Amino acid sequence: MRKTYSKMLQQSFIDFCLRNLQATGMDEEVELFQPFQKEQITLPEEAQCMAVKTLLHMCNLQFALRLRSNAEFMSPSGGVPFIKVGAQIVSEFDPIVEYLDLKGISLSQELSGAQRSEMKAYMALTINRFYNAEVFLSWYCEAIAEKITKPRYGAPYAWPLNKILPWYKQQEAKKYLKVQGWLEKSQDEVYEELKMACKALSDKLGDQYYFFLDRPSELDALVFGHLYSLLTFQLIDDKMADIVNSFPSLTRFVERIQDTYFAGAAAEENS
Amino acid sequence: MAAMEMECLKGDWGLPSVNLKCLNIMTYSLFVEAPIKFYDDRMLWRNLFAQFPVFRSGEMVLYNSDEKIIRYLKERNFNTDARLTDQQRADILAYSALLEERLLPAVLYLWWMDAKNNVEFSRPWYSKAFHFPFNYFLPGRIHKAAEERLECTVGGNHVLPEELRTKIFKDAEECLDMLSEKLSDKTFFFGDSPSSLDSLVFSYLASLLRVPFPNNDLKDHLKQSENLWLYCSRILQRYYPTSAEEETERKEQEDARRTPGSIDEDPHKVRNIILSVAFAVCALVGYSLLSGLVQLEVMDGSDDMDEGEVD
Repeated sequence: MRKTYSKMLQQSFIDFCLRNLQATGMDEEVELFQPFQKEQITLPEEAQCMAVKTLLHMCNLQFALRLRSNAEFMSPSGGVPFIKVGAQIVSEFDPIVEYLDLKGISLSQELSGAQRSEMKAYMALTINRFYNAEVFLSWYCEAIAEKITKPRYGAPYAWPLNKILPWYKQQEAKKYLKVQGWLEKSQDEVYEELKMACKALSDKLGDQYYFFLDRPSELDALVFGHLYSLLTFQLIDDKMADIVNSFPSLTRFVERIQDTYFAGAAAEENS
Repeated sequence: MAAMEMECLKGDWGLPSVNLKCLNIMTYSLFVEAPIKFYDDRMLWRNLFAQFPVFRSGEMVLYNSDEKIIRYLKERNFNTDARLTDQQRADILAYSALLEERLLPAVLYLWWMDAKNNVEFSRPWYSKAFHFPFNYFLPGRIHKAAEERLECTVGGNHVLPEELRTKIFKDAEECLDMLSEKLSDKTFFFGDSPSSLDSLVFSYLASLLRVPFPNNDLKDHLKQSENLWLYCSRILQRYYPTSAEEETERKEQEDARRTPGSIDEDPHKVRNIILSVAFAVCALVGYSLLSGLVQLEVMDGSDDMDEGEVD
């Protein structure tokens, strides 16, 4: 009697362990929420969404793309995109990286401490320069804001909301720039910042395939997301794309990642 | 070449300035031996938002941007980074972005958001740092700017104050670990001579170590990573030897002054009491005279006689 009882206990313990093991992988469907790609999304959002999508592709995670016009207001932190796994909702790039790490999925496991430190530093550079420059150009440069960003941002709403919400968002963006001292910069200085960041990244990348160790890391996903958006997003002029294009190693990097991870997606979109 | 001068926030505790950007420029100028004159507490009426540092060279004025000032110095051939490779220069850019994103929020939090530090330490110190009448509103403005910055970049409506605190300090500790990893056991970040990254990192580390915040969660963590701690004291010793000595001297003097007790303060007390009593008496007498509670009549003998006649 006693023996069977202990055996039962053992069995249930093994079951428990097995279930825990499963929980470390992704057993539930991952859904990614973002604003509408064609009519609505603005440049900084597009870059962030692209980065997260690339990250998920690099982790070999299947995800379902959900387009919602109010994705921004569904997100717990007010930033897009966010992913929903079962009951959990995680928004924006850094928290998503951390969440995947908890689940045992990480791109930077094999990096040494020094390399990981460098990776974090370059990620900070990408966000600090690229993201701020994108916000600056799309919301603070009056010509671009009036012609492109505001109409796009207000696209899903009827009058008067399509005037009020973009205005409100613009105030927020300006505040974001102001606290970081970016409002004192002129447009040319912002282009200069972009150029410096591109130069730093291209110096770091050199002739390698990826930034670290011949395999993709979070940094690759983030940089690709931003560079791809800078290259393809239609603003009134092509100045941003020109800046990126003046660094051939970066354009090659973008093409390579696009071919590797987005070849299927592009074919689907075209069909 | 026009003379270069810069207005800074004043320093304390052996640091030439407590403002990160000012400290960065000051250290950088020592690295390259650039002839810059530093002033504190000057021309505040032209800098009503307390945007330090203000850099002037001839006609040109640069506000609030250490990056631009260093770029200007580099153009003038005061360049520490010329010997570096392109990749090392890229590293400098990346690590300065990292510091801005991860460590700056923690320093701002320690100065202004931590309730105890703010009330007991930062406000009193800052109101002493400026002269009248700027001591009344500049500390408030600096506080507000720091708060806004934290709210826009790290916080927001969805973050609780307690969460904000843990997030900021977690990020900062990670950042310190990364710096320690990057520095390992070198004298400076890129070999044996300093670069612009060194002055930047030093400005952060020195203020975390030297500023005596009542609540300082990061100091212990920083002391644990020995190489950073040694690095910081090495730069202090090498580039600010006098200030360190002065600091100990000043402390000794202060201690000496404290021990005899309150004798030193007594003459002021007596003077103050006399002054305040005199002022109160003047005010009372003045009020009673003006409002007519007490009337004084000046009478001569002849007046008396006149009155008598009329009656």
